[in-house]
Amino acid sequence: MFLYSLKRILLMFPTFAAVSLILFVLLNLAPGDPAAQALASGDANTGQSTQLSGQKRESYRLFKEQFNLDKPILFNTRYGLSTADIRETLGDILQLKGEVGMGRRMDAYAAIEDWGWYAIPGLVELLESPTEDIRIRSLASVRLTSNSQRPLINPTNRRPNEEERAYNKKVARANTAVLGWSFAFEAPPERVTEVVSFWSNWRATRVEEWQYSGGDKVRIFLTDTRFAKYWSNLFRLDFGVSHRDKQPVLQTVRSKLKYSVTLGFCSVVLMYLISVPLGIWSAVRRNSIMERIVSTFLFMLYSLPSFFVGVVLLNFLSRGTPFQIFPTGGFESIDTSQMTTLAYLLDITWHLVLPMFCLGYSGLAALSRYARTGLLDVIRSDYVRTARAKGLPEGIVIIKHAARNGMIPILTLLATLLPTIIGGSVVVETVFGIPGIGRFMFESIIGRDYNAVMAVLLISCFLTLIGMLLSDLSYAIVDPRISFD
Amino acid sequence: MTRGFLSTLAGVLLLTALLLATVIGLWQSDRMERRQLKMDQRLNAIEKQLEEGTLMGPSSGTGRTGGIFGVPTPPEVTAALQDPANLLDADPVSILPPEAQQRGTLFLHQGSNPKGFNLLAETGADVSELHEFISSPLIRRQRSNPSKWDPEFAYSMVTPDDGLTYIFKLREDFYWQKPLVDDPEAFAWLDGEHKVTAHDVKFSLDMVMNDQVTGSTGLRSYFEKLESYRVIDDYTFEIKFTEKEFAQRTVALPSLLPMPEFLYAYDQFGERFDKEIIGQKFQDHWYKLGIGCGPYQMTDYESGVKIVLKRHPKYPLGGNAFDEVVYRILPDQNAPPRMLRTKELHLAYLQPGQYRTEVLNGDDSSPFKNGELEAGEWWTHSFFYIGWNLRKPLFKEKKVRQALSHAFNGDKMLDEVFLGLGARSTGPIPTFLPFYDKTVPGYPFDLDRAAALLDEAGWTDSNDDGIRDKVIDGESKEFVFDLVVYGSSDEYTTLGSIFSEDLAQIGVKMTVKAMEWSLLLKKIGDREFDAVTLAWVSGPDVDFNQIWHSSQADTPKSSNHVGFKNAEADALIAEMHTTFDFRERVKLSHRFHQLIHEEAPYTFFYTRKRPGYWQPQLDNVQFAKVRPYRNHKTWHLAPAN
Repeated sequence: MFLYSLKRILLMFPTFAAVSLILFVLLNLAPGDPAAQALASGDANTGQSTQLSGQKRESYRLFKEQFNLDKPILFNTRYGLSTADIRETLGDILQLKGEVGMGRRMDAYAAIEDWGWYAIPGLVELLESPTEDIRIRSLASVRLTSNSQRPLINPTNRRPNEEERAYNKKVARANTAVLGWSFAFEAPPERVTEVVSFWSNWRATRVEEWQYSGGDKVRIFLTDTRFAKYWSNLFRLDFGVSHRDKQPVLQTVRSKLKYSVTLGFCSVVLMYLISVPLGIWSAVRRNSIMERIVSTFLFMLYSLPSFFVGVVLLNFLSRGTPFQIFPTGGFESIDTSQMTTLAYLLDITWHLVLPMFCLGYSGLAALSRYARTGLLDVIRSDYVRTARAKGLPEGIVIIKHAARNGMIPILTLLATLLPTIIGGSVVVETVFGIPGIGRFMFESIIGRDYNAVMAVLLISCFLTLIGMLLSDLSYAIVDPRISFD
Repeated sequence: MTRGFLSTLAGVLLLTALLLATVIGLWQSDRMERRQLKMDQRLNAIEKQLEEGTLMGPSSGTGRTGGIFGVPTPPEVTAALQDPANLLDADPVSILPPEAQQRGTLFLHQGSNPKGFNLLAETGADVSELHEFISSPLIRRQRSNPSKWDPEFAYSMVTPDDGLTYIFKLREDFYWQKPLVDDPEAFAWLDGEHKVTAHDVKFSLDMVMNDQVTGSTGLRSYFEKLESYRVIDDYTFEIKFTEKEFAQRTVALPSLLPMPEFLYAYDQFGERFDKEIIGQKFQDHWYKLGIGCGPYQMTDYESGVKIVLKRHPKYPLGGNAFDEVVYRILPDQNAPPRMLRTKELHLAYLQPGQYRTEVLNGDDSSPFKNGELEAGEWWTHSFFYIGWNLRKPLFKEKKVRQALSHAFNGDKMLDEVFLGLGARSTGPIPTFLPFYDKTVPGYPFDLDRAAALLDEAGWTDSNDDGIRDKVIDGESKEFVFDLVVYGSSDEYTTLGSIFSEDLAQIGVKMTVKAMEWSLLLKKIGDREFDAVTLAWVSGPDVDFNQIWHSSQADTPKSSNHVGFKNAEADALIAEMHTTFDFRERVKLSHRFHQLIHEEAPYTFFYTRKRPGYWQPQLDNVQFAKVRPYRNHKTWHLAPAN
């Protein structure tokens, strides 16, 4: 048993890593640009965009840098960038070889920006070459002033130490020093020579920065990527900062936990309290007319979508026509500071009745079916017959002898519900205006908030793995006949 | 396993006793808590009385700028407002009526969590709406007459050299709201009263001009011609431009607002940020709630639940009749009408679908129809359109675009799909502005005319497959294209399908592609679309540069996404930039309207109005002619009966 558990726990690590890799790649490949969305001012609700949105390229670049979106997803081969690659990209931007689609030009723009520091030798070479097209040389000089900008250390919500401050000062000075060292197409030759010599000198003083040894290349190939950066933060349990509100994701998730857990836990408990007795009852009374009516009804419930039921319930029971019994949504009343603990508990219960029902009703049918089959399996077995034969009343036989064994599968099911309890429900939380994790997840996906989506998915992946392990172990604990050794 | 009778009995008794003890315990603590709460309330009331008694002084002063509840207007302000050189005028109408009293909580709603609460660091419409309550700009467009400027933090704005230099005189009775921190001892450096001064205005402009402040990029472009700005004394601020541009007065100067330097320039240990990173630190500042010197202070925020604003007792201009303003965050669009019915919201507007069920098809029991809720409407500075990507060979020709405009049954769509909530428009200006030329005829729905125009342009069905074609650059091309619509809105999708049916009758095949917002943004940004339906929202003035200037056509991500290039349009835009005379501007704008109508790069659809509903308890509801369209400074709650 111990060995088995150990094996399972060890196996969880590679599984988790694989899942996170797949999630990360899929998420980063999804169409849509988080940076563009974060900076564009528009109202997605109405499909309107505001006129005051002429965004500057520099802000866009800074945003990408801040969230590592300028790095390649899995592997970084930018140490091998050739001057020809850079020339072609610049050519695309300038449309030297005939008209280029705006999409491709945008990609070229993004590429040269993302290459950052790695593109500098190529850019300088293009700039220095006197035979090169003057437009390419000019653009290369403009790109150099931007690509040579190095990021500042900017630890969130922590006071920077002296070393970091000194570093920031140095970098900021270097960043400002290169600004303005570019020229326009029609610039006089003296200006061109001046700029070229500036950059030649500039590069000469730090030439070793671009001399990569084999070790450097391996390091860059594997570690200077989005995935590696994400994982190195993850090891410190740092899920990053949300693209949207710039708050640490973990903190937000934690604050949403109380809503989703309360709702999920209560509805699961309720589900079990109703469906287990119902299942036993329907196993005992199997094939009677009442049992058929009840199961049909359960299946009807099962097939009703919860967003529909939620809206119908709210419209009938909360807005006053015809009834105003329950609140129109939310987890608690707007002002709870004037409530006593008891009143507060009642307030939450009052708010949660409808969402709990919506979350639970479809599970009723499934769970009660499980309970029914579980019991039917054991009800014909020998020891039940023995119990009957020794003269026990039917009730005791069912409750004490049959049910305890018959409910094993349903008990172990509980463990797999763990992620459901914590993960929350997108639909129910949105309809009832409960600010839980499900809704947070949904909003994050719409907003292309990669860090938030990753955090929620990884947490629920972790819980699923734990749940499955607990479920397997609980089999062995509840049923002594099962052994993993 | 048998259990003795006695042990069972003991078990039951024990359980009962436990239950009883729990109930009694709960009841007792409940009583205690109630007493404590009562005492708290009484203490709070006393505290409030004390605060108002000492802070507000005699509240009888009803100065002209202050409305009621404000302080009496200082003499220098009254004098300055009578000075003819002063460009500011006090708005005569937008004040509270004399019967108004300070009371109650106003409940409003927003659809989603704002990204942040710093107006310069965020661009969303939701943040600007909140700052109507939180902040006080230097000057503000008059709500009743948007071509004039209302004094606010500044009471005088003069320009000695006619539009290059502006000198602002600032009021001396503005105070910053007190930042709310959880550990007062650690934040003792924030203590004390902080007056709002010209240094805060300078700090704010510093941040606007700082490239690290990504939220201000849009605003920054309006300050491109900025020469210098400086603090003359604590309450006088000067700003100089190198060149006169009309947008400086309409956009740049009204967006100036002071920012609390004593808070935003410091880290949470009270140490000033190094100037190299102050922009970044300002963009992601540790103080997360919104703060300002306006009529209300933001005191609480719970993501997905609510935003709470409380009256700022030191705001000198008055107009803050509510004790509290609470924004509920309601992502589900069905929630606001429901909450209007249950009186959990004071004011909301209906979406077209809701307008249909509640008002058009509603029966007399609907409070939206039977007078239980009061109703009004406000016009938005918007125009909805279908944009044709002029880079595509299909739409290069003017005649084709005119034909497509003739094939668009806008009247029917407005009436049936958009339920008449707006007015048809024929040009790139909200219909109710004077800049809109009402004499432009538009393109009436006429499929025969459309077909004729397409014939003229050489699009005929030569291969009898029911779809028109034409030889372009030696290649035969069918008239087939996609219309990109915003997928989460039913109205747009319906519009698309009606339009494509009409087009099919004249041999044009259009497919509707519904997209989610971020994907749509990317497609438009990459210019990978044939046609798109969208809307533009602007201010009460017009500036055609961003959407129509040919220099914007090839700029990546610019707003001229259809790639419109026209020399005459460019000339008109340039002329309007430097024309300050209102009548001249109207004339130029009418010419621009005619030109765009003739060229038809967009098929114009409509300007929207919104049906608003509010509780009768909310008194003196007025809508402003400028965004955010609600003039909460005139609102107050009548006593509950």
